[in-house]
Amino acid sequence: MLEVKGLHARVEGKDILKGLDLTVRAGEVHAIMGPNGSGKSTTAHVLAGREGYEVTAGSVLFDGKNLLELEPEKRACEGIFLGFQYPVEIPGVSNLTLLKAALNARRKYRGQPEIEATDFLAWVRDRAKLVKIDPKMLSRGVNEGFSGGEKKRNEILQMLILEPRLMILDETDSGLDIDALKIVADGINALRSPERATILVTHYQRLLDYVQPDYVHVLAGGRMVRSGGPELARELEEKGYGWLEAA
Amino acid sequence: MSLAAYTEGFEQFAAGLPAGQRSARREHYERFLKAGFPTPKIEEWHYTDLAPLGERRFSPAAEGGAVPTAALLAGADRLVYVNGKLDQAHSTAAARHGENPLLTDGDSVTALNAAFATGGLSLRLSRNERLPRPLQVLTVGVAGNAPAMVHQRHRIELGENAEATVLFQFLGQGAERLTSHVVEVELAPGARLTLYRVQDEHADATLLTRIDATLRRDSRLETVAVDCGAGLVRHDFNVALAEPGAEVALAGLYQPAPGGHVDNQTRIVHAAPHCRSREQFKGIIDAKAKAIFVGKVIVQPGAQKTDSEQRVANLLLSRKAEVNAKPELEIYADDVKCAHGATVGQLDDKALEYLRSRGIAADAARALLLRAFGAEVLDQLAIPALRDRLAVRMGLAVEDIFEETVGETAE
Amino acid sequence: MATQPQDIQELMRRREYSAGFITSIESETIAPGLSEDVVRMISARKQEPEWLLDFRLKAYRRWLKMEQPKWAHVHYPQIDYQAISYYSQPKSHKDGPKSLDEVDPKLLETYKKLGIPLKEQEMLAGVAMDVVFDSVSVATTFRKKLGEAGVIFCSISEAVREYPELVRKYMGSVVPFGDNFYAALNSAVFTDGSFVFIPKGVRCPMELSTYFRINERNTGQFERTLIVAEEGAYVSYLEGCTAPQRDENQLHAAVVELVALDDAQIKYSTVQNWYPGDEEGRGGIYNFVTKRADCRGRRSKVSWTQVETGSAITWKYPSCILRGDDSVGEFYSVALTHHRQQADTGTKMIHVGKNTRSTIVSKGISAGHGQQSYRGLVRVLESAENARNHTQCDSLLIGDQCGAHTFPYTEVRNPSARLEHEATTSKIAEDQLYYCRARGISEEEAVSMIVNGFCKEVFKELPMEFAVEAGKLLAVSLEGSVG
Repeated sequence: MLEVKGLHARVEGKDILKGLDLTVRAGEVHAIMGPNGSGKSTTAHVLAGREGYEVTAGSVLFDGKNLLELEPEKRACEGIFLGFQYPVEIPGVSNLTLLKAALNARRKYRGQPEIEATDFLAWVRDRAKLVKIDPKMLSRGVNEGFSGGEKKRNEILQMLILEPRLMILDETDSGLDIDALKIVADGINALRSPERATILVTHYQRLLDYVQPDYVHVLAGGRMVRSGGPELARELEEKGYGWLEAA
Repeated sequence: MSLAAYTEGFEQFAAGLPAGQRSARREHYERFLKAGFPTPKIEEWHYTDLAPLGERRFSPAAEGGAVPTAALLAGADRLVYVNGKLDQAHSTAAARHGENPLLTDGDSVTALNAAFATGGLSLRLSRNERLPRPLQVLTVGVAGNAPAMVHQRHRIELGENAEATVLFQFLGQGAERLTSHVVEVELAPGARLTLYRVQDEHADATLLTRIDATLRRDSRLETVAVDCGAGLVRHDFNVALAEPGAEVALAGLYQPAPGGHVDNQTRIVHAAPHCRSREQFKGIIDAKAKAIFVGKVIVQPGAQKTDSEQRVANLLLSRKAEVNAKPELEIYADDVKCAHGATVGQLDDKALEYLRSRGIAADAARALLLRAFGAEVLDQLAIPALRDRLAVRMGLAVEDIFEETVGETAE
Repeated sequence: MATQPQDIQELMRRREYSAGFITSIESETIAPGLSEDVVRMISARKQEPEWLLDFRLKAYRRWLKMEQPKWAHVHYPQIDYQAISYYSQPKSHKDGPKSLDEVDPKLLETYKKLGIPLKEQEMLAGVAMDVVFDSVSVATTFRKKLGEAGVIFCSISEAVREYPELVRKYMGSVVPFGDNFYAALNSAVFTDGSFVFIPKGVRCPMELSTYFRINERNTGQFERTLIVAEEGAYVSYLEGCTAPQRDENQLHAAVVELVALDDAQIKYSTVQNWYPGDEEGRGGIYNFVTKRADCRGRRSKVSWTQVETGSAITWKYPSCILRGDDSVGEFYSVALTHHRQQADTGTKMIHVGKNTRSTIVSKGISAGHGQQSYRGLVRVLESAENARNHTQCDSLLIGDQCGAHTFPYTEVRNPSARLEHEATTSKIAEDQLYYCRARGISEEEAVSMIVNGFCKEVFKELPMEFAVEAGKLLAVSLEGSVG
């Protein structure tokens, strides 16, 4: 599904990614771990297409298409979803407005008609239950006045509604208490299927207790320094990242 | 408008000048003559009409007079001027007196000042120099034989990382006078200036002050301005944030005495990115007084990451009083955070009721709330002796209130 | 995926002023120039009574002595008032249409292009309309139904003929002929406009609406609208404005007077989309308008709602004189300036009566090289016991070449007044745009969504169908503003 080869990327004149390789097949869950500043968030944003993230070498194919040529919104319509580490507040624009616009953009991209208002609301209500968000909150501005935990749950809600094929969650687990973490994990698991894939970008192993990854990668200095199964995450939790850098 | 009396005064003044200075002074005077006193037709003078001054007859003040010694601050170095003349006996920092260049150009009032200006504070601190004590510049206007004019120029220049606290105090007594003060301030990178401006003018006086400050990289200007006099008073405060990282905080409390007219105009120009400005003005307007606050913040093209906030709150307490407020924003850059707020209102009825239900007499309750309102600004004045004196003068002293309260509730 | 400069240029080219067509209709336009003779001629053509000619002449003589105001934060070359034609009318109009069927089909086509299919409107929308084309009113729909309710809705010329006493009683009573430079000019040469009269106790059974259009070259439009709501009456009125795309500037100097008696309520909404000029600032309408409401009656209420997206220059301050005790004034405004547009707009709330209340919500959006100023006055006179005002004034900036300015005047002479003023300035943040795009929403749509969210408080004051229209108008006007 996703094939990243020899990816180099630069942000504000600094080289962050230096030859990153990653292959994700449908049905898989990958965890990317690593110390702060290793390039985890950069990887997520380069995949989502953030402006100012300059790719200097390498390739990214998504279902065989060159992802790097696509604008961020086209990537989203292709089925990529980025859960933000710091979800953005947009005062005055309600969550429902954003969701409807996002859902219809995707449908239009696929040549489908716009969703009926009643179907849309029923769908949103149904999904909101999964992440325990009061539908009333959705009439408020996007993330406006939401607590940190609510913002993260809102990211998961958007993901559940948009049903992407590749979910990239950038430290969605950080700053959550254990209850919120479980809700977030339930949301991710609800979407797990043989057609979809997930990339969890995280600093801690905690989330991986609830969302079992197939592969764990360690990112350091802008490239994958180790890959393995779930046991690698536990090893990291015990030993920290120091031993990697020493190696 | 006939300005003949001023021309007469100017010729007399010019005759006493060294020959080399006359032509420059005459140019300033001609500019004043051409423009005349500002009238409300000029947007910046919408609420203060100086045209009637044109018909008055002032002559340059001839002589000094007695110094009100009660106003002298212990613990501060002092420069004392009476009717524009340096009073050597009471000045402990006479060396800081000097003639200053007439740099600031501007409206006709500034031109008038430049034409007639005598010297004043001339403070120059070199790199890393620090004034050990606050410097009090006390200017006193006293009655003379005829309506007198006093125009002074002051200058403060702080070198890199230099620090100073300067207090300008304008006191007036007696008969009709026209006074103007122009203060030029230059802050080099990293310099810190705390500037206090306190005005207590007499009812028959007209006081015009103007402070122009230019702030270089990472320098900081903090000011507290207090007005409690009865005269016709106009203050212009112009601040240019010329280089990144400069910060200014202006605070003001105006409570014109009965019949008083106080017009506060501030103008902050954000000319460089990453500068910060804060303004907090409070007004208590009672009994036939008139107060004006016009605050302008200009964010020039390219001054990104500007952070500016302006607050003005007015309490209007009398049917004979009048308040006008105009907080303006002019913004030519997009990545900025600018806000302003202005209110006009009265004391909170509910709070008054509450205090009274606790046994505090109505007058005292009112005074307590006024004190709380004014304290936000007054407490920023870091010279306790002066702050307390002003609190008493303005009826905002806590001790007084409680003495009264106890007295009244004991009955 | 940064939008490159050439993309922006492309977007600019794509941005079309959808109302920018010219209708070729034979028109009768008098030669440019202004003199007492021209004023007399306009009056004669319209077969006006003596008192109205007097009104015009007094205004003209006063105007000659006045100077163009300079205090507004707008810049434009000196206007040559002798180069403007002060009267233009479609030729086929001479005898006046008796009904819509008699209206020139080409005119009707024009309105269709503008999205105002008169006939359909008549049948479906339930909005009665008056249409002013260049200088004269060409059609008024729904007369019959309104007539049954006792509502008068016609062109001001017709009102002068049919209801001279009403017009004479109220015209100039809110905006005197010498009120300001542009109002004086309008009073001298106004050619048409709408007249609305809602008698005592009547709730106007439908929304009333006027569309103004400037078509001819070198003509000015000087319409005059007068709305009177008697005791307990209610009316909601909407005006829309468009003009063709032309290289030269055209002048529009209107006067609108509203009178609300005891317990009357007038809701006046404007969607102004005069041609704004091109991205270099060539052409566009100079929109210098005087709008004022006199809340004469106790408990009367006037709401101004405006969405201003067009015009090269806008100079406009819809105001309320809150004379009646307990009267209420409201001003809700969205103004957008893009390219080289300049707007200096706001309101005046003059509190005279006791317990008068006013609310001001102003949303300014500046993009490109647009310059936008809010200028507002809240004045509380000595007599206005317990006056209340709340002002909220927000600016949104898109791009670093534009400007947003705020000039709020507050003048209070009564100690029981309470006034609050709040203003903020912000920009559309890049991370907001990226967030929307990462959800599949295009950049343009994201901008439009954020801007609409910013304007929500004002749009909710507009009649439903126009709120949608206003939102779309903003989106179109902002095309090509991000990059």
